[in-house]
Amino acid sequence: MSKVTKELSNLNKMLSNMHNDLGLSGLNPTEQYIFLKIIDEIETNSTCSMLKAVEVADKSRSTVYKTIRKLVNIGVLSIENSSSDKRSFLLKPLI
Amino acid sequence: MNKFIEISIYTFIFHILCYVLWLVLIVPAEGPTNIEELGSLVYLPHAGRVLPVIFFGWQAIPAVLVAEFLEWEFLWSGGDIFRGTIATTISTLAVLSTWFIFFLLGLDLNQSDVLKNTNWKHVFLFIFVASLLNGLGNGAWYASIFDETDALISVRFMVGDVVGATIMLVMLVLFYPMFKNFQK
Repeated sequence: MSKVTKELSNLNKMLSNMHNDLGLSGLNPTEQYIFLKIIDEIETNSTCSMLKAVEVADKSRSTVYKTIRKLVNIGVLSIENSSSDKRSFLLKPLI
Repeated sequence: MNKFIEISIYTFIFHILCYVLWLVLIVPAEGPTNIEELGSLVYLPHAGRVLPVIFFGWQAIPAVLVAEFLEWEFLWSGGDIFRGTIATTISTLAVLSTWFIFFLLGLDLNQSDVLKNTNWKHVFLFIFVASLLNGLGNGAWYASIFDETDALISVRFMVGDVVGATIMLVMLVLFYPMFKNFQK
């Protein structure tokens, strides 16, 4: 056994607590990937529409929409109407 | 394996990883460094300094110091004004001083009942204090070598450290399920 098992388990516990507190514990790897892509798009271009999320995530439309609905339900994302184009829905991170 | 050596290996690898990520992702986006804009605003390697000290204690310090010297000596290819041996030592001393202050106050995150390293808010408190000391130390150092006092250098160092360590922690959290899968 490693000599630093206790320290590493503390790190594991801290990451786990942070993961739960940020509301990310119920996401599977695909959902996490889509969330990461949405955040990346918002960081790069200051905005991410639902259509753009499908494009950057490179997953099927239904998978991305289902993930967005889940992220909205758990309070990680919100959906807002774009002020410039009323047909476009923008994603806003809440954490 | 000796505990100190094991801690040093983990710390060294994690610090180098943070530095390489910073070199690859952040440095090109921030552009060339100049004296007016000294200090990265997203300094990911700050996580490589503070996290090992928070979880392993003072024993992580030598590996942090060695990693920083090697990184700035061999991996950094930008201007010479950005970093030097003394600035690197100041950064490492800032983390050591923070750990020592917390230890003297009975708030050591490894042992005290008040602050715990398993609570990410307490970890952020340590990151914030270490960033403050690093900002003040490096601000004073660059003010003395450039003969010009500029509080913005301290502010940029501090903001860069906090933002960089935060992003690194969030990345660890986002990739956390992958680590869990490795264990299965």
